[in-house]
Amino acid sequence: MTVPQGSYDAIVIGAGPVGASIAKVLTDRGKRVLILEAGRASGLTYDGWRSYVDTYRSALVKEPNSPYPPNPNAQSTYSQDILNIQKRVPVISGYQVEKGPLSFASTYLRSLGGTSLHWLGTCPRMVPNDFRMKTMYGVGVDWPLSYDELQPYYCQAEWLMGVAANKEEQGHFGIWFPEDYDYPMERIPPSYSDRVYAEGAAKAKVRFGSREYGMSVTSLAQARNSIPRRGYTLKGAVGAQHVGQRCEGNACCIPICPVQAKYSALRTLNEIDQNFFTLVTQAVVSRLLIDPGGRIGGVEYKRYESEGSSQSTLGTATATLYIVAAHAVESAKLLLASGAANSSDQVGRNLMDHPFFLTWALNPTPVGAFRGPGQTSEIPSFRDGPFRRDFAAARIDLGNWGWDIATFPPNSNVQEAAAANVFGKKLRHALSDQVPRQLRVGYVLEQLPEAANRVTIGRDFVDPIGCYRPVIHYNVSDYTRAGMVAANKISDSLFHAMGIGQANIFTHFTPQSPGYMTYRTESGQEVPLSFYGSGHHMGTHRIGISRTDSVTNRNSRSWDHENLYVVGCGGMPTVGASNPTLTAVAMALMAADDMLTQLG
Amino acid sequence: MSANDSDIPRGRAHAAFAIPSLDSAARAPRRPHKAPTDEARRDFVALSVVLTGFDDAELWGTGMVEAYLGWLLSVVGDRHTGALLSTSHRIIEDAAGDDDALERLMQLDILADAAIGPLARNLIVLWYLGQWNQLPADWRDTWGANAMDQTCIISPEAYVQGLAWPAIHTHPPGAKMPGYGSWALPPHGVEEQP
Repeated sequence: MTVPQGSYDAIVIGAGPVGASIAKVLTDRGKRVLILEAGRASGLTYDGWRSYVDTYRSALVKEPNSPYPPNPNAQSTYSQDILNIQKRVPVISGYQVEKGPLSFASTYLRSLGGTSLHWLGTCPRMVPNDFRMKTMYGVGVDWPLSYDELQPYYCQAEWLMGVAANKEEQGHFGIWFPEDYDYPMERIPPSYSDRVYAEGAAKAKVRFGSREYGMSVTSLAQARNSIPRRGYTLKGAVGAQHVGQRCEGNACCIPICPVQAKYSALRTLNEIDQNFFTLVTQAVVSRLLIDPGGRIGGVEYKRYESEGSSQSTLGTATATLYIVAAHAVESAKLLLASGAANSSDQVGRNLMDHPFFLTWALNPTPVGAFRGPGQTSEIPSFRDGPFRRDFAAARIDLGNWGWDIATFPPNSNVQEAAAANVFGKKLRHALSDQVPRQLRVGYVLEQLPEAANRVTIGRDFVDPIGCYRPVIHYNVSDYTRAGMVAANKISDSLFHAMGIGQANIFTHFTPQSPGYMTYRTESGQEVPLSFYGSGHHMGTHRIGISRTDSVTNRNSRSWDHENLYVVGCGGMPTVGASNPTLTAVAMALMAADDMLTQLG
Repeated sequence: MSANDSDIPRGRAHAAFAIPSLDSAARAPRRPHKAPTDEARRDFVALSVVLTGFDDAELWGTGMVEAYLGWLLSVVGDRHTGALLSTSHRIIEDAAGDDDALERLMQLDILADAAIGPLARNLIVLWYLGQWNQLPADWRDTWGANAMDQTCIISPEAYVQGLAWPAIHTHPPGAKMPGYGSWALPPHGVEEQP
């Protein structure tokens, strides 16, 4: 297949939520858009989707990318390939090359729809102070825009993606909504265990410095189908619209919602007016071509025929505007490979994740583990506060799936029991007694932008079709490590307020724990810590006030090339404790307005 | 066949499966193992009841009896399967309904046995998780390494029918979904809303 030549108004590179949203806005206004997507398009048919579900069911390790077959020509990292770095670097067990000192613990997916195929769907807005960290707390940087300026785009993004929430429960730390606005769907019902947490949280107190903090439990905004509000039409599975019009409680949002009740970019792609839209998959963009005048003059891509063959054909395509929306890591790679947009030397730098810190315990009575979406409520109480001068903010996720990634129940329980010759009714009763009482709290911790945390490329590391693999340099600073120590303190006070004694708190870390590291307290104590990736790759092409310290302006337009936009979570200068997809889509919609102005 | 034959427990000798004619085997390429006899299936379910703590109707109701017995026959063969089933048949008879006696005999005559103990442990995991664990290295050294003896979820359906999920009073993630808002109701074993 060859790419249809013609005059495109815009070429969008990458068909995840951000690229799809921009394509939707531009085509709605009659602009002609070509999307080049590196991955396969299997998810566009419902049969293809069901094949993903079967792949998931038969996967031994049910990690985020397990439903999606490996594709050597557009690789993704699998969680089981992420290893703790011992002495030797680089670690090359997965697609991403780890230079350390810590492994970057997150994965993403290169397939049509991007990582939204396996995301959880959590859609919190950022709080106003997240946009002015330098001014408020003397750490990180300020954004070139405020909450108030992004606010209208948050509303648009929530309707585009279909976010379920009640606005009166979402006004954390100055987040506000227009009076005539509400989310397109009612909140997802909180789980039974959320209410168990809420009883304890109401009594819990924790002291940091001279200040005592209380806690409360509120419902979580999430892109998952519930009961629609006026004016919103429910959207079901692509290719089977009658399926997935409500969340059905599959308890499997990550890695795959079998009925697509959870938003994925496939839904937006499916809604784009075909008269203005060309989609080419299996096309890996390898280079942006820069005109002598400094404008982008075209893209070079490699189109492979199948996963099984490294044969690819080189092609080029041209348009008026170029929009790089390939994912924080892949977009940075592409800019670096092209020598584009990098006069600030910020491309690839300031790589951030939300290190995910876990604590876990047994409740005295069953809470119904492994029911419902991965999380339905949060404790927002530590998303902002004066403590942010000293340590990281956290959004506290109340998991609905038992100890999940902390210990992998019930698999681990069964394997251990069988190995110890525990069988029959004893085994059944042990499982029945313990797993339904499992509580797991996750702390989504802020990480600050640091120049040394970065994505680079090198000739030594290329994939079968000759494109660069990402080389990642990563560490977690004391600011975030201290946030984990604080999280553990919050956790103890929460669990104790829930009537859980120390003997039933099972949180522990050993050098074999994922992301093992330590923190030295002021008193000189070495505290063991561990973290998981949140899958939130951010910061690698940040927006900014000045061309000297950022890759794009506030509209995500390159300072160096006036017809180039770089969009996605990589644009975020700081990240608060909010899962970033909603913010990235809001920023993309703001960028799309600027694109429409340019196109006239 | 090998010096280790004497290690295989000698239970009540019975043919675990009917041996079909070569003709019918040739015509049925999708069934690489021989069709188990009714007696073998009964013994397999009886053993599985003891290993899982689920009753025979619950096990038949998973739809996996044929698949799991077939898997066992394919991976470890007739002789080891026969030894396991005949031993379990004998101990269930010997225990005569006494649960403590059955537990003791299961530990001594099956789980402690180098040849059939690992098979029984694997059946526990297979029933609960749909997963076959590659047999221990010393088992493979002694009795042979079958190419099918790999750690895997043996089929999508085996995962869905895993007994671990009903054992913890829920459904397998990604299947048998209980419906919108079901997670807000009190779970099994709890009467009241908090």
